[in-house]
Amino acid sequence: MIESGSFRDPTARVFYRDDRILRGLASDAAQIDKAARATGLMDRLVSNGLFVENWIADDVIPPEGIPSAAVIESKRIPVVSYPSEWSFSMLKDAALVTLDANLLCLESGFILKDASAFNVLFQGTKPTIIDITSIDAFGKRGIWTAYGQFCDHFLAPLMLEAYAGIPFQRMLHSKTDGVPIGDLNRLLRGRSGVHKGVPTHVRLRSLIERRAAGMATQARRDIGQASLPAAAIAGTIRKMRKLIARLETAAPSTWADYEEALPYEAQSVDAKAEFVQSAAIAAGSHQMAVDVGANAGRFTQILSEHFDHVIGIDNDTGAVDALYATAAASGLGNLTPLVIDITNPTPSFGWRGTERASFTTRVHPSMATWLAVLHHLCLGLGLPLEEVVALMYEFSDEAVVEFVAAEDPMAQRISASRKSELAPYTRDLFEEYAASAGTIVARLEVSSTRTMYHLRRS
Amino acid sequence: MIKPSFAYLDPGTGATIVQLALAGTAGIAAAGKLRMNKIKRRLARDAAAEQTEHSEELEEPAPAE
Repeated sequence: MIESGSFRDPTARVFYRDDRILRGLASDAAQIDKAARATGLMDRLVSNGLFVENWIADDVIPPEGIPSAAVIESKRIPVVSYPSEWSFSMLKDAALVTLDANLLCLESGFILKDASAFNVLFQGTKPTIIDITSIDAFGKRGIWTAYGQFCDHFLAPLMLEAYAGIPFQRMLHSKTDGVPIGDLNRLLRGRSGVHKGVPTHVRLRSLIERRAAGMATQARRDIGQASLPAAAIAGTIRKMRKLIARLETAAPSTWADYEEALPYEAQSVDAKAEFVQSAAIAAGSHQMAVDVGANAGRFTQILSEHFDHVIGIDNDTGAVDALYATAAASGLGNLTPLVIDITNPTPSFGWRGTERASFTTRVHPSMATWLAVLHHLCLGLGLPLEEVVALMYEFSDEAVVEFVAAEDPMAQRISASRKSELAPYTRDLFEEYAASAGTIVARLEVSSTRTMYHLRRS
Repeated sequence: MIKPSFAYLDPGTGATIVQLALAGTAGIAAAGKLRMNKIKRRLARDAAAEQTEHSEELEEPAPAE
């Protein structure tokens, strides 16, 4: 099967055979790849964790229509995520990996010919470049072809959140080409315009691009011939690295206050944790688990002990950022946090609407946990209980659900200002819906208003 | 010596000029072949032309130097 998202580079196409991820290279690309391996560059990129592990697959003949001068196989990264699903620190780390790989390449006379954020995937919490064929020959002089793309995919969204306090995720939702620099230029008004990097990468570039649009073809060709020595390009990239490394998010987050405000008694939290643990052990498959509404990730971390791969999703970017830091610090190599709103998950998008896959086509968990989420969906957002139970069975083979009754103080707080009548929301009704499409494997009352369930799809 | 493969990604005229500017005086001095003056003159002239002849075709070839 040929990857629908890999048509942009005609010299290398991605295809799949059985469970293998393969790239068919045209002769030019094959020659460059061979040279990158001969100089030891590829080894350095892989051993520094910048590139995904990859090797020459001599035994594979690509399908009709795919370049076949060489075939490269790469290790499968089980969680495929997109930039709009990353938190601030994740996009920042992905940017740094892209720059570091470029610097390493330049030392050996190569460069990365593109800087798409879609070329980066997270192995647990470690960003890794998967586009092996983005390595290009550079020689002694040249231009950083991907400078503009790097700014649109990484710098602009990071600046948007750092300097304007706007979470970039919503600006990247269903976008394949980042944040246009002109948009950022118009958004960064007043004092935000004096921040580091704005005068050059945003103001100057916007100005010159407006000018350049009116330039004659010959003048554009002349500029296309321009080149700089490798040392000058490396200098620009190092300055960019310093700029990115200093950026900090200025977006507001609700999670921190919320976590503190939870009126849990330690006892019920322990009972919940124990229930999640036994459900995880009893799961039919331990391939992948998703913690829906992961928040600070207390239960995501329990899941990570029992599943090969765990994704903690939350619609609050601050919560995801915190979980990313916790998981990285405690060395949880199989936990990837993502910014996903379960009521509006990433759709499929891009060229012909299929270039990038939807979240629910990419992620098929064997178990999902929905802890303290149900009342948000039903009482907060007014979603019908029956619909939510249907989603739970659709999303994963097994589910661990915490039912929070309408009388619960937290549920009361959520629905306090609601005037309109809601769809019926009771524990009996939940059990009825849950039992009609699956089996209630286990059930535990953790407090007078909260009950835990382990559900299995029939 | 391997030649860079044809770039499928257009760096863009604007982005290239910004890079030359970012490289600073050191970069510009090192890039002697750049004919920066010529480019600057072209930029200035194009901007001037843009202001006086709004209706003119953008794709019209520039007069020979």
